[in-house]
Amino acid sequence: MERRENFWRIVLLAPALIVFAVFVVWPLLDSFRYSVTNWNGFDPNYDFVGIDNFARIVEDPEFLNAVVNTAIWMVAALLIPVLLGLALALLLNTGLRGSNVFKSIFYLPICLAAVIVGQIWIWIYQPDWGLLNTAIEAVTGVRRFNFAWLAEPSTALWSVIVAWSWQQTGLAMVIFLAGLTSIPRDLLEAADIDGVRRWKQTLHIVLPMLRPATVVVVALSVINALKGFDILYIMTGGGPFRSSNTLAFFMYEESFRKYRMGYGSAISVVLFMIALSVIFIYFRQLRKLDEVYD
Amino acid sequence: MSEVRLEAVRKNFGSVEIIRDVDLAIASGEFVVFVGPSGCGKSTLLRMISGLESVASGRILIDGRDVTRLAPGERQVAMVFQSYALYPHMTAVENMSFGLRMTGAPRAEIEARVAEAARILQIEPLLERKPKQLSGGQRQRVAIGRAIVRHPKVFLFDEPLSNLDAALRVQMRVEIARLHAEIGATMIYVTHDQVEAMTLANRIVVLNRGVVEQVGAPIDLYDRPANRFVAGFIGQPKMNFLDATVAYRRDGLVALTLPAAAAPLEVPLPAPPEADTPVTLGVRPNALTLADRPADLAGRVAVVEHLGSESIVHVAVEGVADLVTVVAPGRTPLRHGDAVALAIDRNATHVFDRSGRTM
Amino acid sequence: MTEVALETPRGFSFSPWRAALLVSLVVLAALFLAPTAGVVLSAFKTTRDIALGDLWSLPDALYLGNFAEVIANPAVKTYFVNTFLVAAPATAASIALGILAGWVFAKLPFRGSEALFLVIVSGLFFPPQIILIPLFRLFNALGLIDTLWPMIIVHTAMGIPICTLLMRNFFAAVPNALREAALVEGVNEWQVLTRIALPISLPAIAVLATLQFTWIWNDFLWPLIFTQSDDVRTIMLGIVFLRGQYTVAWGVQGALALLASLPTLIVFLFFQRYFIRGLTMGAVKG
Repeated sequence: MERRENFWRIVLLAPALIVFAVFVVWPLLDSFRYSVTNWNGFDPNYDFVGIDNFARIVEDPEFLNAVVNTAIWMVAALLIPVLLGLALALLLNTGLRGSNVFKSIFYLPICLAAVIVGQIWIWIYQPDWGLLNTAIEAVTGVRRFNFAWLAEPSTALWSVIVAWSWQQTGLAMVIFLAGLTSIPRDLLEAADIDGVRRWKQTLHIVLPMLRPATVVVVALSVINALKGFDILYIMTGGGPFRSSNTLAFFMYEESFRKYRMGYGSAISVVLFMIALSVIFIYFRQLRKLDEVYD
Repeated sequence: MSEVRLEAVRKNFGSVEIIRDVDLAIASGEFVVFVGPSGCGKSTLLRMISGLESVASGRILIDGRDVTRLAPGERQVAMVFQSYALYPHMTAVENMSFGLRMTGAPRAEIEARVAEAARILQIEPLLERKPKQLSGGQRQRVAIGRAIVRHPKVFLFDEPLSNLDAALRVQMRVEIARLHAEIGATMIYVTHDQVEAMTLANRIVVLNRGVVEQVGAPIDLYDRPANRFVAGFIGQPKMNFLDATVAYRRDGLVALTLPAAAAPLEVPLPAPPEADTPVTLGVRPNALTLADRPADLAGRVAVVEHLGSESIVHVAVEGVADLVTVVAPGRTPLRHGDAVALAIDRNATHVFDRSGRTM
Repeated sequence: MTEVALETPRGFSFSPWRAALLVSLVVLAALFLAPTAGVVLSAFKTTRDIALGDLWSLPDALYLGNFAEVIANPAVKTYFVNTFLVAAPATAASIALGILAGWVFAKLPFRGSEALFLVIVSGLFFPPQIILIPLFRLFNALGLIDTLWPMIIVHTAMGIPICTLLMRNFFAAVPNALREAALVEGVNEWQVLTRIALPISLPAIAVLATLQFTWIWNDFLWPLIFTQSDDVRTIMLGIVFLRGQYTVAWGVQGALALLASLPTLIVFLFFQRYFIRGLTMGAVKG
């Protein structure tokens, strides 16, 4: 019987494993190879340059700029969608009538393509008739407020982050809602009988029990920030003057615009290492939670 | 219909031996029950016969054929699960015919067999329903029907009644007994409930920690348990065990000193051991009577359970750690705290040695 | 359990708390809805109206000229067809592979399968940038750059982690006794998977199909890397590309954005009931 099971293990698992190995795993390993060359993307000849690329990276002010911007985005990802998503989930879990309508409204942005989200927010940030400036004019009474959010180096990155958060928050909310509904009602009812105030219940029972969901939300948000590309491409293209350049975009530029694929590979390796650390921390957190809950 | 043989069957899980060297011969048409406490390996043994669990060493033969290495589907056995395991998206008919359909049986044959099984189990009106539209008892019948249509060599039941409520359980027990009478197939039945075992089995296999403690007809196990474990497992309420020492012995009997008894108790024993041997005396609750005059044991009533037709009295006896249980016919006027004397029926005793074996 | 928590609120009937809650929710909802509302509005207005600062008021008449212009553009039609030709096969293929692999991880585990599963699932997390260059080189060598094939293949491969994760989690919840009962009946593993497990896992597959189709339809990066000429562009790439053509034609851009979002919105609305339930199965358990 064991032999028969092994037959099926192989037959059923092989297709997915093969496709995954050939088109994901192997390229991943191959990237490391390119990162130690000076390949330009076309020339069949290229040389091994050792850790030259990495040495250059560390000294490249462009790279450091990209790292800082990426870090800012990741920190924002850690806070904005997580906290806002949690708040929304808590608010919507109180059984308000029509909460499903609200949920759909907050979830809607997730269904939109990043390109379209970028498109939408370009209009919001439109200096002359965009919603933001129009609203500011209406609220403060200033007659003509034409600040070019996406064209100013000081605000470009944050403008993109806000647009991105608009989309990411819905996802965080859904995951928190799922976590909330998995909290057994008896726990809260027992607290009711014991006379514990509602907000204290939230603080001491609900939030701790949301740890698993929180871990997932944080990991997803941070990783999505790290991966963020489409929205950046369409909104600012990394500019103005590289003020919104991130590692993901920097890699693309170097590889497919400047044809420095060796260098680009090195950047992608750095990006990968950062992602790996996040994943590692995430799995560690999951394991710790398993110990507590199971 | 066929015989099943287990030869030196073993199974381990890592370094833990779950089934240790089991030898068993089940005759064709027999209803055998595997019974024992949780974790004794009865379900594992059944699953090994079915092929769902592997065998570390030894052989399993069904109808003379060595099936030890065969897949479950090749052994011509049928299994009824505790959770019924009905396919939720199929009707009862589809559930019952699924196996036959997948293995290419002819349509006419399938229909005939399903009709036959439905008739035997009286589930004809339920055939087009899906499992969620059936009650627990009905689901179990469909599960049994699924087993019947395959005309297997052996029927395997894995605690099929454990998910049913008490009343339904009694009813289904009778149904299964009736089924065996009607079909006459070889059936191996696993349960932790010794009442089910006693009422259904031709023979009972008592398992404890992977070892077969005793095999025999229910009454044999009741009257002549091979060891203390079987004696304590079979029979409701549980047998009373009293520590004792041999005072003296004579031909065909032994006198035991009990800490609680006034004088040594003489009980018949074919091969009595020598004096001072520590033994355990086993007395079933219905082998004790409540006496009004001082008798073998004395104590105070701790708890009385009135069952209507009889009463179960738990007595705290001097020098005995556990409560001694007595079954008295009818209603007893005794209450908590009353002083009471107990008389032991000498001829209904069992003597066990230090290691638990019956002497 | 879910429904109870939502339908019967545990507490205050009417209080300042509740009012504040409602107000803040409405405000937030309005803020969240505004951007999308803006696009929808702009699609039905003339570019002139928008440029004159009239974007945010309700139009008296629904101007359909923008839509007409978009639909008439042959390039747009090409983009839509291309995107569908990529999304449909890739969705089907990745789900199929995920079903097969998920079944093994759920019901036929083996030594090291947990670790292998984690490796596959971690594919969800890492940035695609790491495989951009090698894949470009691979498809270039195969002469497939500027065709639809690289996108179909890569989306299938990149979809394996999420499909395997969700299907494995779902299959794990299917009682083992069902599979065992079938095996004892002489049914083989393939029949167990296709005749028993699949029919009862249709909700999970619906969720997966929605997720995958949406994700692939909305994708921008892979088309950007693997295509150069206009006749193989996908819609998202097309939108960015057409910005040059429709620079100040805001209304047209709005219409285009709406139309481009329509397929995924339709798919989402259709499977909406399964959606959040399906996410619950996979997401919180990690």
